[in-house]
Amino acid sequence: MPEWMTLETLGLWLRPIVWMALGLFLATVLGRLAERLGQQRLTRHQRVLFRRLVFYTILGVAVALALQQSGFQIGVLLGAAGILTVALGFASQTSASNVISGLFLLAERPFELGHFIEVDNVRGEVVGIDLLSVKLRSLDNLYIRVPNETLIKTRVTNFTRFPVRRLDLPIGVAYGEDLERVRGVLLTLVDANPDCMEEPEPFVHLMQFGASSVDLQLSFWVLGADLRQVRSDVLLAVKAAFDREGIEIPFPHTTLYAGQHSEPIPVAIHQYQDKP
Amino acid sequence: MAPTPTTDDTTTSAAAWGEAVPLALGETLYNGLSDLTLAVTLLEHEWQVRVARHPEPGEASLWRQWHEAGAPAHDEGLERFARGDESPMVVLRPALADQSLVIRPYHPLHLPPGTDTTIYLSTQLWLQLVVGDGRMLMEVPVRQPSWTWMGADTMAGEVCYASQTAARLEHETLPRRPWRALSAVRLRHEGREYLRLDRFSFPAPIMPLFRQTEPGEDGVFSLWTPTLSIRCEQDLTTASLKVENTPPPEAGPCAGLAPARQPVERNHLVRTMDRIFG
Repeated sequence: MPEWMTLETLGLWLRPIVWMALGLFLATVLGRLAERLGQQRLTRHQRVLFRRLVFYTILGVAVALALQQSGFQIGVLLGAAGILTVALGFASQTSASNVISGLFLLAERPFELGHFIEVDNVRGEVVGIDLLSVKLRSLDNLYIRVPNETLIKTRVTNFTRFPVRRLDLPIGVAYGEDLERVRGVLLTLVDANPDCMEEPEPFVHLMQFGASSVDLQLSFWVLGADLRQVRSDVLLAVKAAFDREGIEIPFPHTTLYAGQHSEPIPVAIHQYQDKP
Repeated sequence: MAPTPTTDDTTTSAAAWGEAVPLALGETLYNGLSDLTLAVTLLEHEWQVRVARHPEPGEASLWRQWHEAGAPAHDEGLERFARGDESPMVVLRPALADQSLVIRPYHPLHLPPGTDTTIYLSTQLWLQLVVGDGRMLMEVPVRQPSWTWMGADTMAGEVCYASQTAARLEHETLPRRPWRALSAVRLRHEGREYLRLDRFSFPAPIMPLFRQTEPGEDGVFSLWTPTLSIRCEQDLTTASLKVENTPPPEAGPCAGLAPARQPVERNHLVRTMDRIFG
């Protein structure tokens, strides 16, 4: 046995390890307990924050006690930590920027766990908010990590912040249709769908005279969670109603014109002709 | 088209709420309420429940209930529930909506200053299917209500169910249907100018249900909610709301049938009061 490995030195090493293990255990258990206590009153996001606060506070106290047991002077250590932070900050600017951005995000709270957001052309449900990054789960079940710095710098759209959303459906009809009648048909089918909200009132706007259709916009409000399903249901209903009422949904037509003074383009159709 | 009984064994509705109906093994109990058909089949180890909706113009006023041997041939809206050792009893319990309703008169109603006005309306019920010794299998609205938003803007407010009313001023003219609960809303307007009533919030989840102990003139035991009193001191922004303990005297003698979904908590009442008129 080496000379330095006496029972006394072994105890000196073991004591902080025991403190750390105990701290880790207590932090985990009490963190979970704190999360469970907030089950009724706090949101999922707040519960996770509460758990982390309890966890890191207890762990911090345990680390401080463990260092004290090892003979470290906490005051000196904190002073050294300040210098260390500056050094680390220079060495890892990106990480530090992400950490600071993360703190700003926690304070600003532009979204919470479970919200559906779009950031940097990526859409997904927020499944994790950490010190360095935010984790998203896209609709096709991809795990996407977005650095906190990106969230601070770019535009973030939160789709679930408000419980209701407006759906704007562009609908084109032929120039020959009676627009008042079309408007009536559209509003009736929205009215018949219980997922389309009665208030704010749905409306139909004439947007423009398009190249091959009169472009209308059917707008109505729905619960954010039902958006995709209702959009599909209403579009199906629009098609069915237009077919039933004989309202034409036009599609782009192309007319070939060879000039005012030229002859029409000769077109010949030959049956059973072999392909060249 | 809605399923119809294959035999003449139909019974009218009024007595069915809250009453236990025994089922034989393999038998199906059909209930036709408005455009909803609910079929409950008792099998040896499971309950089968089929919910079908067949909207038709107009609304029937009778609750058709009949038994048939065997399960229905179709699987439309089928849900299965393991049965265990439950007794073969089925109870249909009524409940008011699980969210507040925003009630809009078909046409705006103007209330004169310094008056009390009582309007009578009916709201549709939810049907709770209870089997065995009181286990609720499911609940469905008799008619799927539309959503609406009650709030000053689309950021702050509450998602509610939409309901329209003729806002009748005489309770005798109110149509009686077994799947609708009748309510009296007493509006006290203490302001100085006419008050235009476009819509108001009806806190259905905090209201219990009562049933008449004596049938009305049409022989139906109607369901009533307690009276809702709304007092406007100046205008719609200064309104306060109170749910009375009992139905109005016009309802006649009534007995409690179903408790409120939510106990009346002070906070909830204040929240509802914030948005009585949107």
